[in-house]
Amino acid sequence: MKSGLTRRELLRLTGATAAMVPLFQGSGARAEPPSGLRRLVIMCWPNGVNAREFWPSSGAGADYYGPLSGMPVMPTVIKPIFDAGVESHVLIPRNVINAAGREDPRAPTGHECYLHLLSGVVSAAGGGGGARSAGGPSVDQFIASKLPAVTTFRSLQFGNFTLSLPFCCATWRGVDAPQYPESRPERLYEALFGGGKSRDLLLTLRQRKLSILDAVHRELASKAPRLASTDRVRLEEHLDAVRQLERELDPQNLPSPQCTDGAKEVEGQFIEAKRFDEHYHLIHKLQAKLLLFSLKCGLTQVASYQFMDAHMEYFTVHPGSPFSQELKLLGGDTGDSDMNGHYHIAHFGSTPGNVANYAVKNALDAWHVKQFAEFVKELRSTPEGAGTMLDSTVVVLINQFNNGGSHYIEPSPLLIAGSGGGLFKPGQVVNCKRQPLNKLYVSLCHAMGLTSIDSFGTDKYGRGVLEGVS
Amino acid sequence: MKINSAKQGRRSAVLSLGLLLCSSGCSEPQMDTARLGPAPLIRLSSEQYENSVLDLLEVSSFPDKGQREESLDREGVPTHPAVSLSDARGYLGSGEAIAQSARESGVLAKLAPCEGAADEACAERFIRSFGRRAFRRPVTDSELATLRGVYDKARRPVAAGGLGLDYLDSVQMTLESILNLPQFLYVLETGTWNETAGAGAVVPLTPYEVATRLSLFLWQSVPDEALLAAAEQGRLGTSQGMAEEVKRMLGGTGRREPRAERGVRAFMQRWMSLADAARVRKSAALFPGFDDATRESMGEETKRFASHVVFEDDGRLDTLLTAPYSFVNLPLANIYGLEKSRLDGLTFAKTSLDPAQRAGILTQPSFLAARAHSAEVSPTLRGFFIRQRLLCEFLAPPPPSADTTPPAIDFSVPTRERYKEHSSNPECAGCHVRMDPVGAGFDRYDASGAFRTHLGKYEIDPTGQVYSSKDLDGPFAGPVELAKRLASSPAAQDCFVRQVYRFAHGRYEDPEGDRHSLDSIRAGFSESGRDIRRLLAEIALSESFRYRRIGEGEAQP
Repeated sequence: MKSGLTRRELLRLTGATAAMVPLFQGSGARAEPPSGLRRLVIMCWPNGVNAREFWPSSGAGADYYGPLSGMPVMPTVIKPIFDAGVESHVLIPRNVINAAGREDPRAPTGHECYLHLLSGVVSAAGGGGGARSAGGPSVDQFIASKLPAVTTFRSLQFGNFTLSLPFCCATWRGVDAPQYPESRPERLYEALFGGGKSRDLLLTLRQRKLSILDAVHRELASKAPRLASTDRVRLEEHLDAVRQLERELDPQNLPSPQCTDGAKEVEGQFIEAKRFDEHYHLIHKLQAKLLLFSLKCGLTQVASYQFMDAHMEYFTVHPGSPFSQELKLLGGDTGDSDMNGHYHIAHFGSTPGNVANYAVKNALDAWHVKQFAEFVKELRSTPEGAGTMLDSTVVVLINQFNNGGSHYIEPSPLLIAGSGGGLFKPGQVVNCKRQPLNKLYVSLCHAMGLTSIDSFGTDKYGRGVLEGVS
Repeated sequence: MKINSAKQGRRSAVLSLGLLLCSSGCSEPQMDTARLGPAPLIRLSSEQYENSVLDLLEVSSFPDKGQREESLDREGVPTHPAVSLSDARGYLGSGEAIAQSARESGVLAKLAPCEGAADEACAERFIRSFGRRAFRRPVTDSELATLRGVYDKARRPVAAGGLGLDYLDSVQMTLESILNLPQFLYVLETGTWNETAGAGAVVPLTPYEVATRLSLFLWQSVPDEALLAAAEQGRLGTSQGMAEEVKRMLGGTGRREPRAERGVRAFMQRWMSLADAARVRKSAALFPGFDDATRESMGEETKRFASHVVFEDDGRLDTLLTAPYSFVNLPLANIYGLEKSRLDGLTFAKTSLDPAQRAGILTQPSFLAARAHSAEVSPTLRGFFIRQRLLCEFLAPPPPSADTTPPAIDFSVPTRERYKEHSSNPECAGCHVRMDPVGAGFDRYDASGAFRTHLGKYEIDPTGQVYSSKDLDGPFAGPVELAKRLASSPAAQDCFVRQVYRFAHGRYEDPEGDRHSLDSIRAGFSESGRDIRRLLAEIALSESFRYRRIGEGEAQP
C-alpha cells in the first residue's frame, strides 16, 4: 500500500468536494509554469542518414570541424538548420559512438538497436537472437524519475506512426517496461489539455476515472506483494503507470484556461493515421504543437518525440505528401520501385548511384532535421523570464544508424540545441573522438540539474560528461 | 518430490474422431520438481481481451478497443512487457467505451437486473456474478469490498462526497472497474499450496485456474458457465473430467464450436505473423490492384483455411500444408488468377485451386507476399521464414560486417543470379545456404503471390534445394513438393508441435522442463496421424498445463 497521502486524499480529508476544487485551488492555478524549470526534449528518427549529406566536410573529402557558420560546403540534410536561422544554437557532436549498440546481439546491423538507443545498455537476447527490450531505463525516463515531481507529467512521449511493438520504441522505464509513445494527437489533447471540454465536465469525468483507478490501485497493490519476484516487478510497473494516470487526472492538475485556450487550435484537425505519406506530416503538425504547448504550460520538464518506426513500409506516392516530388521519382522508375517504404528507401538510398532512393532518403532526413530546427526556432522566439524558452531547454535529435543502407551504427547522427547551462557550446561542429553516448546522457542528466550522476546505463564505456563540447 | 503418484503406464487414450477420450482408467500425469518449464505472468492478449468482453457481455461487437498490438519477438513469441502508461490509458478508455455501450444498448440492465430488491443487493449480486466470469473464479470478499467501494462512491450524493449517480450508472462504473482490474487483465495463478510447498515446488493448479488456461488457450476467452461449473464441481481434477471438457470445447464431428475457431485463428496469426501481411506494401507500378482490401484479405484467407482444415476437414497437419483449395474473395482471385464471376466482392468462398501450383498455407499470399519485397521476391525472406517457423531452426543474425542491402532489382537477370553473392561469398554462404536455396524454389510466385513461369525473357527455374536440415535435404520441384515433404518430415512435425505449445503457454518451451510434456504430446499427435485437434487436446491435458512452479519470493495466498 502507498504510504503518505496523495493530494486527492488530502483534498478529501479537508472536506473539499469536486465542485469546490476550483475555489480551493484559486482561479490562477497552473497559469504559469513553475519558474526556473529546466527542460529536455529528445527527438529520434530511424534508419540512418547518408553520411556525406549529413556530416559537414571540408569539401576536399576531409571532415570539417569548427564553427557551423564557417562550413565550406553545406550538407543538404542539415541545411534546414540554417534555413530556420538557428545555426548559432545548434551543436553537432561528431564521432559519438553507440557503444552499447556494438554489444547488441545483432550489432550493429539490427533494427533492435532502436530499443536501447537511449538506454546505453543492451538487454539479453530474446527469441530470434535480437534484443526485445532496452537494457535499462532510457535517459529521458531516468531523468524524469529522478527529478522532483513538480509538473503534472513526469514525462511525455510523443510518437508518429510508432506501431510495431516493441521494436518501434526507444523510451523505457526499465527492462521489459516500455514507456510507449502516443501516436494519436487526439488522445494527447485529451490527456494534456482536457480535449476542449468544459472545466465542470472535465472535473466530473476525472472524478469518475479516479474512482475507478482507486479500485485498480488498491487491487494491484494488494496482489503485487504475493507474486514471484519477476512477476511482482510487472505489477509494480503497472501500478506505476496507474500512479502516473492518477497524477494526470488529479483535479488539482487541470490545465489553466490560458493553456487550454492556446491548445484549442489543434481541434478539428484530427485524422486517423492510416497512410504514412498522406498523414505523417499532418499528424506531426499536431504533435509538434501539442509538444510546444505542453512545455509552455509547464506540464512537463522531459519530453520525447519518436518519429516513426524503424520498420516503416508505408510509402506510396500521394500528391499531398511533402515528399511527393521525390516519391514520384520512385513511382516513375519500375526498376527502383521496390523501395517504397522508408526501410527500403534507407536500404537502397545509401548509394548516390541509386538516384531516386538517394534523393528520397535525403529529403526525408532533411525533413526531420527541419522539424527539429523549426521547433528550436519556436523555443528561441518564445520569451521566458529575461530570455527565451531555449535558454532553459536542451533539444536532442538522434538517429540509431549512421548508414541506413548497411545499418552501420557509427557514429550516431546527432544534433543538440541549447547550452544546457554551459555543458554544450552551440554553433560548432566538434570531434568527440569516439566518446560513448553514455557520456552524452550523463551530460543531459547534469543539464537537468542531476549533477551527482557520474555514469549512465553502464560505466564500462566511460564515465562523466561528454568532453570537448563545452 | 513426486506429486500425484499415480500408476505407471501409458495413458489409455482412445481416439474418437481426432479427440482424446479416456475410456477407462486414464492415469493421472506424474510430476516431479525437475519437470515443468518456467511460466511468466500472462496478461490477456488483445484477442483474449476482445473475445472475453464479447462473451462476458454476450454482444457481437463493442466500440473503441483502444488496444495495442501484441509485443512479439522475432519468432512471434510474446515478450510480456509491463503495462506502459499508454496501455493503462488504453485500458481505461476501452473500459469506459465498453461500459457506456453496454449501458446504452440495454445489455447492462439485463446483466444487472434490479426489481423488487434493494439497489445495494442488486449491485452486489452483479459484482459477484459478473466478477466470477471476468475473474474466472468466485469473487473474494476483499474484491467485493473494493468494487462495492466504487459503486457506493458513485451512488452517494454529491453533497456527501459521492458522484450522485443512479443505480445503473453506478453499476456501469463497477463494470468499468472490473475491466481494469489485474484479476481480469492477468492470469494470476497460485496453484494449490500446502505446508510443504515453497519456492521451486511444483503444485497442481486450482480447478478454476485449469478452467482459465483451457479457455484462454482453446477459446481465447473467459470460461463459459459450463466450464466454471465443471471447475466448481471438481470435475477438472481428473484427466477424464478434463478430457470431457476439452472435447466439448473443441466441438467437431458435426457440432461446430465457433469459440474453438478463435483459438486456431489466433494461433495462425502468431505463427504465420499475419500482421505483416496486413501491412505489406507492393509497388504501385507493378501491382496496381494490391490495395487495402487485398491486405486485409490475405490473413483472413489463411485463418479461414486453417479453421476449416481443423474443424471441418480431416484436421490433419498434412492437409494444412498441402490442401489444393483455399478461401478466396475478389481481391485474392486477382492474385490466384481465378475466374471472378463466381465471387461476391469481399465474401470468401471455398475454392479449388490448381493442385500443380497450390498446396496449403505456403502457397497462400499471406506467406508469399509478406515474405517478399515490394516489386520482387526475396528467396532470403521466404527461406528464412520456413527455416524459422516451420522447422524451428535458429539462424544467427548477420555479422557486424554484413551489408544487409538486398541486391538491386534487375528483371533481365534470374533472381537467384541477383542473390548469388549470398552463396559465392563465404562470409554469407554459411547461413544463407539454409535460406536462399529454399526460398528460390518459390521463385515462380511473384511478390504478390501470383503464379508465373517467366521473368523477363527467362523461364524461371522452379526448383529449390534444402541443405543442412535434419531430414529434408535434397532438391524439390517447387512449393507443392516441398509442402508434401514438410508434411512427412518429423522435424517439421516436431516444430509444429512446439509452435502450438509456445502459443498455448505464451513462452518458449524449456528443453528440460517441458521435455516430458512435449514427449507425450508428440506421441499422441503422431498416433493420431497428426490430427491438430488431437494436438490441441494433448496440450490441454498435458502436465505442463495442469501444474505450476511456485516462484522465488512468492507468498502464500
